[in-house]
Amino acid sequence: MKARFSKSRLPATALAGPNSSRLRNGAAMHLAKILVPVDFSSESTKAIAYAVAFAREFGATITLLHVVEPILWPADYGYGPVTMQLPDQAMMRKAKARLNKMGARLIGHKFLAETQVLNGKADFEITEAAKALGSDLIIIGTHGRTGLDHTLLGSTAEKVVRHAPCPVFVVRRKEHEFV
Amino acid sequence: MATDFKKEKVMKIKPATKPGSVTFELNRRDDRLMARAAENGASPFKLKQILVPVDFSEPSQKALQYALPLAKKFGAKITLLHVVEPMLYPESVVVPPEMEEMNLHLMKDSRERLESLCQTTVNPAIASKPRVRLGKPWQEIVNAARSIPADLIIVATHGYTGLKHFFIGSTAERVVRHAPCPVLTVREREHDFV
Repeated sequence: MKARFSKSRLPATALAGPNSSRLRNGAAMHLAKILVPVDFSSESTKAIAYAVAFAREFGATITLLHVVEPILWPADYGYGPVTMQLPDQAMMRKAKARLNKMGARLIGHKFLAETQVLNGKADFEITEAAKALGSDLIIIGTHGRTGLDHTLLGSTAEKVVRHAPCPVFVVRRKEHEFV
Repeated sequence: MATDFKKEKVMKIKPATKPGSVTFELNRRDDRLMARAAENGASPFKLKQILVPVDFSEPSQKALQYALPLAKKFGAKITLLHVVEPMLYPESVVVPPEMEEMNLHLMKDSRERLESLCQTTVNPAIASKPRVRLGKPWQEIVNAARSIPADLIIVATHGYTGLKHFFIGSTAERVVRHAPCPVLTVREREHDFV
């Protein structure tokens, strides 16, 4: 039985239904936007390597994102838990320059969509950026610069995996690679 | 990665643009990785074995939904894994024979269900293998990934327990933590690319 199906997204129950033949044959994948959070550690460079491979395979573009945590100024004279949160402008400028350099060196203009530097809490900003960009995939390393060895999954990666609006591809330092 | 980093040159010394000076190019590991990813004109993906843990719930069917097109595109084999969690009574040191029988019966049942799932949902052109293990789900998934060895694990964030107030189920979380290879997590309601 041959039929033409539109590229609409099917719910999981469609696996057994009349559209199942399309899925059996392997539905087309529309992976167009990859988001890679970067903290300039070697693990995040590894995430970029995977992203380049994905981009090459699927004709996708990559957005590099770096999140700078705001400066917290505790209140003077112990006046209660009031803190001022200031975006660290200098840090953000430096990060943007570094991201651009990294993007040009590792990805190239063909696959690099843009570089973003955001201010806020890393995991929250990453998931919000993924929603805003309409990312199809987030590629993230388990650890970053803090890289506490006794944790198997860093706090940022863990929260991104929990709250992401799209599939998350997690790579770790020492693993069986396919790229 | 199949590279012997000891053999590769750590540092290259090149003549620089200014006469009379040289530049040191440090052969950093991430640069080698990037070079490898970039050098192949053909597919840089060596994705040959995908492990898909399945608990027959709808969310886990979604993981399979992601695995199929990936397997087709890269010519990978899919291993569908179902883990039966043995039921143990805390007081018993020795597993009573009725329990053992029940576990075996559950495993046989699961294998049949997996095989029918393979037949109904997986295109015969894609090589798929059903596997059933007995033990703690996350542990058996990680062990299977090591023994195959899997290149990628695609796991759904929730399963049949489906406790929705947790953003990710315990099995998926532990698999992401302990996996020996990259893991792709898919959730029920999300922006999909399949």
